[in-house]
Amino acid sequence: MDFAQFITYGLINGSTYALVAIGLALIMGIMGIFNIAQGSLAMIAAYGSFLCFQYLGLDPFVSLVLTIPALFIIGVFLYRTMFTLMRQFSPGQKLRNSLLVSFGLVLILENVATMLWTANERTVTTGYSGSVLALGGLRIPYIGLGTIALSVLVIFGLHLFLKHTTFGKSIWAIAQDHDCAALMGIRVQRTTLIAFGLGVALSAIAGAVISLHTVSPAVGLDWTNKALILVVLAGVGSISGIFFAGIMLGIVEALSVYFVGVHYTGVAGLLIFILVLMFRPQGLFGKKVGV
Amino acid sequence: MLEIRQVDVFHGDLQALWGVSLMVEESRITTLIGSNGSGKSTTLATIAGLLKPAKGMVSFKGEKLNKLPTHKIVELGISMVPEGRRLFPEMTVKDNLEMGAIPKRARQSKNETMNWIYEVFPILNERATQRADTLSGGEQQMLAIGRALMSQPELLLVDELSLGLAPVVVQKISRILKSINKTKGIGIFLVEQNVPMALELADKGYIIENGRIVGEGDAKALLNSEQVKEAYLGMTCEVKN
Repeated sequence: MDFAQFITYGLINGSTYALVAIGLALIMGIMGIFNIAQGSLAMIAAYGSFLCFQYLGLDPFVSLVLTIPALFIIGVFLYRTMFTLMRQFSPGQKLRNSLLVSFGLVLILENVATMLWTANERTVTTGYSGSVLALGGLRIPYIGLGTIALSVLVIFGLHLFLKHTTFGKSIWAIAQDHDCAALMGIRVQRTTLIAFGLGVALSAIAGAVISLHTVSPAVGLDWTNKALILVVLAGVGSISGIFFAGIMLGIVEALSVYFVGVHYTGVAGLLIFILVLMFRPQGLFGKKVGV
Repeated sequence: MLEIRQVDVFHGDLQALWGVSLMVEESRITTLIGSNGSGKSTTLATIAGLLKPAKGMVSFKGEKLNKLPTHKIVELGISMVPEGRRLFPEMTVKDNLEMGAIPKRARQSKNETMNWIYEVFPILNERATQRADTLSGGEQQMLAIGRALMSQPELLLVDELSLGLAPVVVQKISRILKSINKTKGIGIFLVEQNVPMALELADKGYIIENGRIVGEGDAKALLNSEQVKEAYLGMTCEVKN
């Protein structure tokens, strides 16, 4: 039963990784922008959830109605100020430049967060924080259940949105052929802006979950690190693959804790990252291309 | 209907079009012929708003297009079958067609238009749920044409209809284009390297060389002119080399 317990924690952690990675995957797969600040934006969102809890008494899952629009607006602002000019760049140039610029953003966000909220770790402690669902010998935290449910909902919701709505398909069309999408009458500029805002808004959901664990200004890059592993595992452009990649990383990490020891979790993650890059560079779920 | 007057267009520092003027009349088939790199596709990209002219004017039904973004131009009733088809490869045939119906006026009658396109190209109906990149070259060209027709254009721009297709397929598709032009009155502006095919299909032709219009006239007359015979021979030599 001990083993099953590890796997359960792996599933929960994996779902959290997937929530952080989904925005990164959308922005990278659709716009070719490498937003390395995605984890830092989730960190800011987590502080948002924390403040909403502290001052308004709102549960992090409830304050999503505030943090999601707020992060959307931040996303639109960031795209307008930092990334608009990159739209004429070639894909490689765009990737490199956006990496540099967003790394600057990581530093800014970290320092702003430290100035405003100090470097101390914070946690939202709700009434149900410690409670677990006992399933035989298995103990599943309610927060973990919420995380898994949210992750499934968000990722498959996004997948359906991209595949089955006209607006979603327009975003997807732009990803495949920018100029040709314009020839179809798609308002490429506006659609891209909204898609970027959406990608950043998704980090609000990750932020809510992070706030229930621990948040400090420095966690941003750690989350981005996990998210990047997921994007590579799933394959750039794959949306639903992110969920399975998250689950996989979570379970691999749990197994490494079980068999090797807690200090090697990071190593296990990076090891599968390297293995996938070596043997299946298009990702596990990338059919070379595809949502 | 579409008028281009004294247009200069640059690719960065390189001038690609030099004082190009031409007219595309309503409900007729006009063609622009010329060899590789003569400025044909640049002309189309300028009409569609993907490139902006440095000088001169492009107008459609009396409206200036020079400064309009591409999606506005599509809304005015111009749609394009781009060179090399440029389908959305990961999408199904049906989704590709749907992407053609983004402009407001096309949205309401989307289903009727789609049914009509399935009538014109029955193979697309059979392949409706297949991914676009699984189609053959000819089917892809049909889908690209169908997708462009989904926006219910008044003017259809076709870039290199014959590119990479077997002659018999080209013949079939060009016959379908002609009948679309006849029955629906949709104007067609065809840009082609395949000179005999283009001139046989078209009512009026223009010849472009090194970014300048060097000849124009009735398509049938052009087909028999010395100028075209020479240019056409020149092209066959180029192919052999």
